[in-house]
Amino acid sequence: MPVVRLQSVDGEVFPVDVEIARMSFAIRNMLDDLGVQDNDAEEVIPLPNVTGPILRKVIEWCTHHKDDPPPPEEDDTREKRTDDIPAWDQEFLRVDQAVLFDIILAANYLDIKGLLDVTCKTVANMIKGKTPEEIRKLFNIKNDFTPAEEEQIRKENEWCEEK
Amino acid sequence: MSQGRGDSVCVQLGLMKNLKFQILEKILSFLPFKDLLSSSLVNQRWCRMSRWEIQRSRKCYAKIATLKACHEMLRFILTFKNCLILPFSGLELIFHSNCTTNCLSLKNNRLFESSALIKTLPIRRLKARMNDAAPKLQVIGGIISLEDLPKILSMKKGNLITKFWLDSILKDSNPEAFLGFMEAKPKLRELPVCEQYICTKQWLRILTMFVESTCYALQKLHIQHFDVLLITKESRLPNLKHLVVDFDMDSQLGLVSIRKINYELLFPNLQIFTVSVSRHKQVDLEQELPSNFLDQNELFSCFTVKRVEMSNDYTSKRLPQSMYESLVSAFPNVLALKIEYCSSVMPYLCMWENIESIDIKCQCYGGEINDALICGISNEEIKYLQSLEVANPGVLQHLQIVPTSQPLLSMNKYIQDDNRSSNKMVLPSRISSYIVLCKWILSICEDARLEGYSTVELNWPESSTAEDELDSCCSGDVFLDLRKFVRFSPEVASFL
Repeated sequence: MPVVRLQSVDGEVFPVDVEIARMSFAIRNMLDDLGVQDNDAEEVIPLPNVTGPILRKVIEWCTHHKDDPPPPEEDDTREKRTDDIPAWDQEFLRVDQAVLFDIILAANYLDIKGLLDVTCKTVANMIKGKTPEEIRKLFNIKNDFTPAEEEQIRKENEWCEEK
Repeated sequence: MSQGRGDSVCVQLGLMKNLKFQILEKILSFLPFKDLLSSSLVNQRWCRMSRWEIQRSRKCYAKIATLKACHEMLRFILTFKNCLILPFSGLELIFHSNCTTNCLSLKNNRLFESSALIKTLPIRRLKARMNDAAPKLQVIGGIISLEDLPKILSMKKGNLITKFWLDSILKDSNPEAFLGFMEAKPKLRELPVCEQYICTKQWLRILTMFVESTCYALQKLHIQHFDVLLITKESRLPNLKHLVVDFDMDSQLGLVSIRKINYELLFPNLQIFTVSVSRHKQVDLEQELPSNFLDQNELFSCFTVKRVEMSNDYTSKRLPQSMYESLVSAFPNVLALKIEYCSSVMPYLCMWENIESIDIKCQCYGGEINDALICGISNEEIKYLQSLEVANPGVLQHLQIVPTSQPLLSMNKYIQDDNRSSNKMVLPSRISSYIVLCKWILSICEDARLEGYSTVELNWPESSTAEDELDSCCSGDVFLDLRKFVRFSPEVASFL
């Protein structure tokens, strides 16, 4: 199996099967742009936005999902589910929030749709059912509304009904 | 997700703050509508993002549906006039028929100005069902009253009106607007004609012409008893599905008159016939009928009607059963029956043998049926009733049995209490598909759904000792009628 070497921002190098590395559209494009052949085992691809521990997690996820069918096309009209996270992924994402957010950033940077979906669903599940104050507390978000602005938003929201 | 060290890191770093626009957008895209509303209150950034998400991918409407439509409309505009991103993607306007009355203080037609303001808001979808409409609306649905007609006709929108509520007496006005409406070639789907309007005889001819002008589109017509007899001498409504007739049950003709209509010719596709009993006397119009109307031997039936609805019949207790039998002869193929606010349900329940569904709606106080126990009985249920009587002597004293024939698939009973705060509904029990309803059950259950009772929960008694009590309350004509329809369990049969 041909291998490509991925280098994290902190200098750690991970030899990865090319097929697994190509699950990242960013890496796939780099390989294609560079004209890297399957037998160019010495080629090192630097990933300046991803740390070693996070890159290890990302590679672990990709390795587990290497045989998955390609994700379906986005369909905005269909209700998006968040209760369909596979058990393995749930366990895999049972990490500190900081790590979870780093994985999201890495999945976004590396353009790995499956991983980005599952991590965003995990965060969405954390938000569901929470009050605005609970959400702020959970993610340490500063409330930059004045009391009057907040009241106005609340008033506006009262008019809405989903069909 | 652990709530320990990681959260404190998150707290320190403010991780969410660093999330790119696209990532937050993606996270929000997985949230249900209700959570998006909560998210919009987190901070300004989340507010913008949540509302964009609502606008982008959710079908959500702000709804103005109230009798005080003008006030609501103004409140709406005041709320949103400075709003940059609306928290909904559409606006639904439902203004009730008497909206105009409430708008009098605002010099009527104020809605037109208000609706022009609404157009300045960036709303993508507008579902308008209103008396008055913004000049650029494409379709005007809902109830349009005669008073608003000139304004709408002046905008050349008359042909877009789908429901016209003819409820204004034109004593002091002239029929020009109305005639202009006919010229606009309306495609009305629904036309309710109120009783006070029809009392003015001279309008009958105009009404007939009007019905003819929209006869192909009309699907629902609500009209007075004698008017339907008079206008249907000439008008043919090929697509009418629902005919609502305000009936004067005490008139000379009574329900027999419904057999004087040639349904096959006039309403070939009629599916629902509703009798709304009116206390309004129409002596004058009764005299307009041809003198030989009653004597003509020809009686018609309608085989396409599958549903009959009766409402407000407070005569059903005193009028003879034979009177109601005209309904069966007129509509022999009825499968569904709805009875609303009638003094007695019994005259209707015994009539059609193949009824599949019965809906009963009544007010909580007054009227015999509220105290009644209505049931079709299976073996298990009769045991249950006996156990009830043992545990609560007298509970079955208002027993009545409604003859539910074999094919009955559903029966709903809605009881509306005085303050209209709650509706209690009883559905058929799973045990027998029959109905068990009694005052006692309603008194202990806010929402009595007998489906939920299983034999295990009910704890059936081993022996029955309430035969006498049950027997004493299962007497009278009701039971005699019941023999024709109900499949009896041996236990019940032994009581009879």
